[in-house]
Amino acid sequence: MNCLKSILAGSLFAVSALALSGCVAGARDGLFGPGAENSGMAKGRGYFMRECSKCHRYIMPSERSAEEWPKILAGKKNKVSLTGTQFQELSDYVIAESKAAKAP
Amino acid sequence: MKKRMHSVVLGGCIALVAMQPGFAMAATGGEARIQELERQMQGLVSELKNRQNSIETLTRQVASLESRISTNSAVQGAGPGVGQDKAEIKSMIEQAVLAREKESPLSPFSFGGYGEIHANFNEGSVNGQSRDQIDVHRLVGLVGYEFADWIKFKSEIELEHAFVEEDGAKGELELEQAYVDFLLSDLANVRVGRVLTPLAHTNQHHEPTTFYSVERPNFDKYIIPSTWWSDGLGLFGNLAPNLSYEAYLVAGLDGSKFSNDGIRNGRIKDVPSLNDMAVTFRLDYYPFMGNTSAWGRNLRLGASFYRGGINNGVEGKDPGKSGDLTIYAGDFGVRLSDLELKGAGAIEEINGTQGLTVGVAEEIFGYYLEAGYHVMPEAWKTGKLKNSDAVVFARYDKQDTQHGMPAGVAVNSDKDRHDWTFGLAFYPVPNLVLKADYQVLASEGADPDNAINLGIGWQF
Repeated sequence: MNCLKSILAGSLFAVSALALSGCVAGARDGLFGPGAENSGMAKGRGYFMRECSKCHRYIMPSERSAEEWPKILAGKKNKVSLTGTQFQELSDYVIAESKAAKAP
Repeated sequence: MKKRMHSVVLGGCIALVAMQPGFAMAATGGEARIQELERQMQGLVSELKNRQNSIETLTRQVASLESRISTNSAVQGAGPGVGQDKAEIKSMIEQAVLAREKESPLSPFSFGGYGEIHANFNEGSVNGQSRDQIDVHRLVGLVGYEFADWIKFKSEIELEHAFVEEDGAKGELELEQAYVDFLLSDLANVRVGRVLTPLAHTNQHHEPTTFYSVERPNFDKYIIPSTWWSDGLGLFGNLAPNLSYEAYLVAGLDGSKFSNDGIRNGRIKDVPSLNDMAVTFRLDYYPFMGNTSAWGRNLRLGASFYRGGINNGVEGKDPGKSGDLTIYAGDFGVRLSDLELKGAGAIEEINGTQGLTVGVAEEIFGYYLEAGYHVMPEAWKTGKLKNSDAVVFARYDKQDTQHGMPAGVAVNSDKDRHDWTFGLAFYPVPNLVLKADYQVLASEGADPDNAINLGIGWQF
C-alpha cells in the first residue's frame, strides 16, 4: 500500500513539477515558437482542450471544415467559461487548425 | 419600233434613279463606313489584347499570393498565415454569433441537456427472478445565463431513474451544479456555488457522449463516486496555455454514511454542513501541446487532491463521529490518430476515525485503464453518416474498498473487484451515441453476475 501511495504521490509531484517546468519553458521559448500570434494560438488550443472536453469526447478541429465551425462555435459562446476575447482565441485556433488539416 | 420604245423607257428609268438625291453620296459613303468599321475593329482587338494582358497579370498575382499563404502556413503550423486570416475568422464568428442572437431574444441564456437510457441484462438471478431491466437512467437539463461578458451562471438539474419515490427508495431529482463564474483574468477566476468535485476525470466529464461504455466505469462509482458535487468557492484558470488548475474550499462529506462499499453514500446531496470543511484541487497538463507533429499533442495528464473532515452529518455536527479523508488521484488521456487511451487511479485514506460503521476501510484503492479504437472507415462517412464515428473499446477496472482495514476488522473480499468491459459505441451524429458492451465482473470473494448492457445517450 505504501508503495502504491508513493507511486501516486510521486505521480502527483511529477505532474506538478513537469507542469511548472513547462510553464517556465513556455514563458522562455514560447510554446508554439516565437511570435505573439502563436501565443494566441497556444492559448486558443488550451481553451479548446479544457472547455470542449467538458461535454464532448476527444474531438479534433479537423473533424469539421472551416466553413462548418463558425456556426458550431456560435452556439457554444454562452456555454463556456471564457470571456469574449478568450472565446475568439479558441475560435481562431479551431478554424486555423481545421484549415491547415484540410489544406492539400 | 417596239425595241426602241423599250430602250427609251429603260433609259428614262435609269436617269430617274440616277437623279434621286444621295445616290452618288451613297456610293462614296459606303466606303467611308467600311473604313470606320475597320477602325472600330482594330480598337476592339487592341482592347481585347489589353484585357488579356490584365488577366494574365492578375493570374500571376493570385498564384504568387497562394504561394505566400502556403509558405506561411507551412512555417507557422496551425497558425493562420496572415493577419487578414485572423480578421476573416473574427468576422465569420461575429457574424455567426450575431445571426444566432437575432434568431432568439433569449440570447443571454444558454440551454442544453443530456440523457441516457440503458437496458441491463444480468446473467444471473436473485431468488430465481431475473434482474434484467430497462432504465431511463438520467435526464438532465442545463441552464446558463450570461450576466456580462465576465459573469456567467451555469446549472445542471437531473432526474434519475425516471421517477422519485416518496420514501426516496429509488429515483432522485437533484441539483448537480449551480455556480457563478467571475472571469477576471487568464490566471485567476472566481467560481462560487455548487461545483463538480474535481477528482479524476469522469466526475467532471460525465455526459454519455464522453465515455464509451453504457455505464460509467466502476472506478467512478466506487472509488470516485460520480456524480460527486461540492458546495463552496474557489479559483480556476491557466498557469500557462498548457496548464490549467482548479482549487476550491468546500463543504465536506458525511462520514457516518460511509460503508464497506466506500465513501459513496457520504455525499451530502441537499444542505451540507460547514462543520468539517475540505480543500480540493486539480491540475491538467498538456506536456506536448506545442508539438508541430500530431504525436502526443492531445496527451493530458491530470493530478487531483482532496482533504477534509467527515463530521458533517445531520445537517451539522454529528456527535461521536470524526475522522479525516484524504484522496490522491491521477488521470490521463491521449488520442493518437485512431487510437485512444485513458485511465485514472486513486488512493483514499480515512484517518483518525471515531464512531464510523464497522467495515469502513482505512484505505481504499482503485484504478482503470481503457483503450479505444476508432473503426469507422472514412469511406462510410457520407450522406447521413458524414459526421459519424464508431469506437471499439476494452477497459479494466480495479476497485478495492477494503484495501486497508482497521485493526481487528475482517476484510470483505467481495469488495475487492476486478472487472473487464468490452464494447462498441456508435455515433451516427457527434452528439448521440448507441452503445453495447459486455462486462466480466469478478472479485476476490464471490463473483458478481456478468452483464450485457445496451444504451442510448445524447447531449445537446
